[in-house]
Amino acid sequence: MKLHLSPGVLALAVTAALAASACAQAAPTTPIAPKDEPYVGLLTVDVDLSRAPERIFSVHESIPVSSGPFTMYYPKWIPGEHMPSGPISNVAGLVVMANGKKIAWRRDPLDMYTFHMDIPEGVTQINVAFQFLSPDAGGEFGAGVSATRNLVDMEFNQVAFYPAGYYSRDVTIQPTVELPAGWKFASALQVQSRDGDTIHFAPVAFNDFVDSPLVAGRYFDRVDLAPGAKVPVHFNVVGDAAKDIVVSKDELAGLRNLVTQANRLFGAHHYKSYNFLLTVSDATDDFGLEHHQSSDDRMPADFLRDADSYKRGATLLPHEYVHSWNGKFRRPAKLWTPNFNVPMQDQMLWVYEGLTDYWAGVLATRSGMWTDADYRKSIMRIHNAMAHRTGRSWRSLQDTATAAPLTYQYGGGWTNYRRSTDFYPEGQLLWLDVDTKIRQLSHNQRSLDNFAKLFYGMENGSYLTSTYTFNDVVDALNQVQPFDWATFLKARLDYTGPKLPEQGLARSGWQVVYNHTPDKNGKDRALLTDSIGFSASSSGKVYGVQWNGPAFKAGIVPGMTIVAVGDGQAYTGDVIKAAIKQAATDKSPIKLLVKDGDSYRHVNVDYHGGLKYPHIVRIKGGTDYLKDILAPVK
Amino acid sequence: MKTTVLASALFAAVLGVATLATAQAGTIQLNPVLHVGGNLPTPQNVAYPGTLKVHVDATDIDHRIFQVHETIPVKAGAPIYLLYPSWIPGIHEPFSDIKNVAGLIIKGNNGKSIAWKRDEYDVRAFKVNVPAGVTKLDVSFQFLSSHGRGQGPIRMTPQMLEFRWDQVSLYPAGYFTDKMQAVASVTLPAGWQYGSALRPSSHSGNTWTFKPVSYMTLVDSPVLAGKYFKRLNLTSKKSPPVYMDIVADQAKDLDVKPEQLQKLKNVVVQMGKLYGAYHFNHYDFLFWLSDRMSGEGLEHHRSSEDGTGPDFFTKWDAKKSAKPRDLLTHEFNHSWDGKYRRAVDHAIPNFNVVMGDSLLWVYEGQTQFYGNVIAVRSGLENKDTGFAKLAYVAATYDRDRPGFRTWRNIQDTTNDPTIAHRTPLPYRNYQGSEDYYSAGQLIWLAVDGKLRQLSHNKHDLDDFAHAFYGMEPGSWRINTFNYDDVVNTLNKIVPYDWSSFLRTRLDGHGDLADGLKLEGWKLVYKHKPSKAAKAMMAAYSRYGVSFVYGVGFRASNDGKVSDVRWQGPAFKAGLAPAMKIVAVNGHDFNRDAMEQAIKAAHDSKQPIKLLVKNFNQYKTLEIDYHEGLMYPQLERIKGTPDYLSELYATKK
Repeated sequence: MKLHLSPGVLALAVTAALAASACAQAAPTTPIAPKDEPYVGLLTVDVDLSRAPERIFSVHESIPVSSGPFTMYYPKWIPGEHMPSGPISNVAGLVVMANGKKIAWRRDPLDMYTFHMDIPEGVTQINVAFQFLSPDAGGEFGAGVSATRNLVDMEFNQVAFYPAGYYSRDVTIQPTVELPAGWKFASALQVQSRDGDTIHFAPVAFNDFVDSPLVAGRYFDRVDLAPGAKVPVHFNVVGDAAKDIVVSKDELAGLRNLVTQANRLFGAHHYKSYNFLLTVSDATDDFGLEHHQSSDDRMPADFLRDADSYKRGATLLPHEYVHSWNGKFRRPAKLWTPNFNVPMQDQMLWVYEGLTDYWAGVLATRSGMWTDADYRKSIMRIHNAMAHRTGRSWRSLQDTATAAPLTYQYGGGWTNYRRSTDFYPEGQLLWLDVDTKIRQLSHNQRSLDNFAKLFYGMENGSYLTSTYTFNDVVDALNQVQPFDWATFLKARLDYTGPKLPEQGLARSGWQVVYNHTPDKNGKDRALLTDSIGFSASSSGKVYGVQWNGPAFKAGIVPGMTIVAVGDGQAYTGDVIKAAIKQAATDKSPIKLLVKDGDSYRHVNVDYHGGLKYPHIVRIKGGTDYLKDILAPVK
Repeated sequence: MKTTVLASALFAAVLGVATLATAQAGTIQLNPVLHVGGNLPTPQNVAYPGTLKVHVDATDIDHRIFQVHETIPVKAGAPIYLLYPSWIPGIHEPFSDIKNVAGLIIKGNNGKSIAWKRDEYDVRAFKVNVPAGVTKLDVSFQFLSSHGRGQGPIRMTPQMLEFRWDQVSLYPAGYFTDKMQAVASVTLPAGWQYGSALRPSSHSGNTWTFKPVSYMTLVDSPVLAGKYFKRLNLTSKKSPPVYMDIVADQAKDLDVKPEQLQKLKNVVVQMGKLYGAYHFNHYDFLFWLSDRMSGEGLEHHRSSEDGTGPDFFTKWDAKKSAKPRDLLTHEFNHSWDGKYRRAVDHAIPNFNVVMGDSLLWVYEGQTQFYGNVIAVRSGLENKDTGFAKLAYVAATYDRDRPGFRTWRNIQDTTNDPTIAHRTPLPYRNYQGSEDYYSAGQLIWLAVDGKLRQLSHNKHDLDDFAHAFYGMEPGSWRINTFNYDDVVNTLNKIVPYDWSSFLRTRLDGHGDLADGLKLEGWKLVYKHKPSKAAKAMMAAYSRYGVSFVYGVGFRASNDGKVSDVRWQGPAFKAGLAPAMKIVAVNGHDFNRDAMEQAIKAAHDSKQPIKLLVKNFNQYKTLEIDYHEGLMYPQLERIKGTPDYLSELYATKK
């Protein structure tokens, strides 16, 4: 999963998206151990999306049962979301019937996703009806805003219950979807037949059902990204307006290169066919959720038509695509679960997400979606943000992954000190460290590309998940380049202390330096976090304060508003920058009028270091490995 | 015309504009001061040959366009000036909507277009050289009514519309308007009903044609129409027919309870008892209840334009919020004071010669006085509210109009409609504005008190009202008067040097609230408001906060300063209008925080700290004010007769 945001503001956005989320973690007292044997009978589910524009998804499901106690689950641990985020609170109108009679259900008092009932004699099938009330605001990831007047994004874990006690791959379900009149759709599911706007899909294992979302819309386009290839890859897009879904020539060329470059990187694929399912809308959130043979990718309405917007979000599609290899086909052993109600363990997310994020940037550049300079700017910003993580003093990178269900949801400011989902951005720095170390040790004869082929390039065409452990990663690295990789990785993953432990950027021949002048050609991107030590909106609302930084010491805390600066000048970005410059010259404190709650006071910030602009520059004499990493594979 | 309900006092509410005009045929003594300079012919007191026909299509409510078609009989082969009315009676200033006149096309009765040329000295005069053989002009234009946004009051909504005929017609120069006949007609949106002092002669579909009237009467007879309409009959045993024609945003706002109807009927009765005569053959209150249409209060001889909020009837008894209701009594009073009896400099022969406003302290001041008194006598307002309002008016002239102690007098404010056009002022309290309304009210209160004192309560201002307005029952000609007529009438009731009494107050710089003493009451300031004052403040809370009698400023609820008392404590600390008060003693500004700060400064003797924003600059001001909150209140002077309660008592 990827949030489309630069790392600097990542935590903020997560905060906003999850502000209202609840994290129900209690485990049932008597968990039902799942069996790996076929569940007898075929489930059917009819998902009526004709009222999708009103954000009401009506579900009619049938589940074969036999008499006696019966327990069913609503999917709780959502693959790719790495936490118990199944949107159970949006389920309403749940009625269970059998032979025309209502069957009472009881929710498990210790697990909100578990429903018990007693099936009477003679009943062989229950009919489960409910509505999924798709949110109009808020909601998490796949269950964020997912429907507008013109489109719908359907993650199927939201619209089905399944029997407890079985591996989800042993439960078979036949889905039917009814679409609003005239809407077109795309999904990795196999169509069996269609009747007007009603689509009957072929029976499918329940885990694949959950893994195969559908997008549909009034405005729809489908583009072939691998013309003539045996294994098709398609780019499907829905939007709120016809003008938003037009794929430009350059975009098409970049996406086709992406398919080529990814396949050259890994040397195998793990899908029968692949479908990008892109939604371009300002109503839906900006994020991506990976699946084995598709990805649910959501971007702003102007994504395809505005070059800047496209560039900002360019790594999203590569990220989710890479997950087909890294995350879906190869998966950390403890992230794999037999069904969706057994808890996942997230400690290997620095591979699952960190390495995916690393390759996303690299592949975006190799495919021409980014230039080398774009990549360098991105890695500079990541480096800058991670270098200012004061929370490394108490919390390791490893812990940000282990605690992913928390770090995805953290909010309330102090991101630099709490840390966030740092296994994405710092994960990139970690894998750049590994890549350059292999190159250094092998005199650039080998690289992380060799690891890619070795670790992901087997069993071409298979999408049966293959799990791995930390030792498997270390062993594979050793096969590529003998070295004490376990120590190398642990020294970085478990590190706590004042310094950024990754040195990959320096080893690649580049470094981040700071001075008082903005980039000649770039925008004025002075980050106040690097200097005075806070970040604020253009109207002065403080959302981040560097722990123990100058602003912190003066009493600035997140949530305050900086009303005025110096001699009473109303706060703007330019005014605070001018004051920081002035204080560097005259050594007098920076005077701020701040508002906290409904009260006002004056504070003085003793900071005289001036503005700090980051620049990424070559280290003289060092080898430029970055150039080699970013070069397209022939 | 009626201005702020509390007479420019503290509450910053502004009702709209108003007017006068018309007369029944007859000999009128008119203002001899005529148009000076320019090319226009002097109006002559002779009949205009032929009848004007004005048709207004008022169906385009979405675009808010009034489409006008007019036929004007003319003399072939001669030049003529067509005028757009400028001095609208009741507005007291050269006002008009000429900027919203568009699409003016003039054709002859031969169908050919005739070029018009705007006069070089008068933008409201159009010169037309009538070709030979042409005996009628076909004039068409659109009156583009306001969309808000500072374009003027909104007069068309999806539920209602209102217009005056001066907005939708041109008329020939050179004649007295009471000697010019006009036939008007209007097409309204389907299914709408209307009210007006005009009475129909015929009706077809949605088009009503009215009986012929003089152009003077036509301009004095606006039309109010709406989708939701109700007509109340307020006629009393002794009065000519009186109706209230009400339109509203929603049907539910028209729910008039029997006791409300009774109080409105009481107004007609009490007016009859006050004056002893009615000066109309019928009267229509044109009353709209809307938060979409702009508010209004504009008097006419046989009708009035009265626009107020949607909940006039439906939130009548809200104890926590006492809305003054003297708008209706004020505008009705003008039928006597302003329309029938009209100052001679005010009575102009047509609408494009200069009007004189020197006696507005009678026209508006005495109307302000009786509007308030009758509101209580009729039961529209209770006595506590009436007294609380009077306390605020007295306090305003006691403390919040420093300009009248130093440089300006009340007489001079009668020029203010033309000076300021009711535009916002930088230092309203010091500049003074239309103070002849409320200062006028206090002057007439003093006259009432003096009459009672001199006559040992045998005579009062009601005797003046009877003598000055009560002649010629039923006549609705214009009966002009001058200053001497006022003084002489007072002298006939109780001999006294009334001219000195009046001139001291009109031209001087003394105490304007001294009438209270003559009535047996005095003005005091308390730290807590009375129940009635509290209810009034609640009714006006959306207009902002006022601390004018003590610390000395008023502001919007979010702290935007609108007035600062000249040389008052806030003024001396550096506070100025247009600044925004961000915080008071370090906390967000609002009414409650400011009250707490004033109380705290009263106890602690520490200054009140205001964080203010001026343009984009913040600074902290310290106000050295320790006298606490100031709420004006009336208190009896012990051992004196209580004339004020008698004044406000219902007449049997």
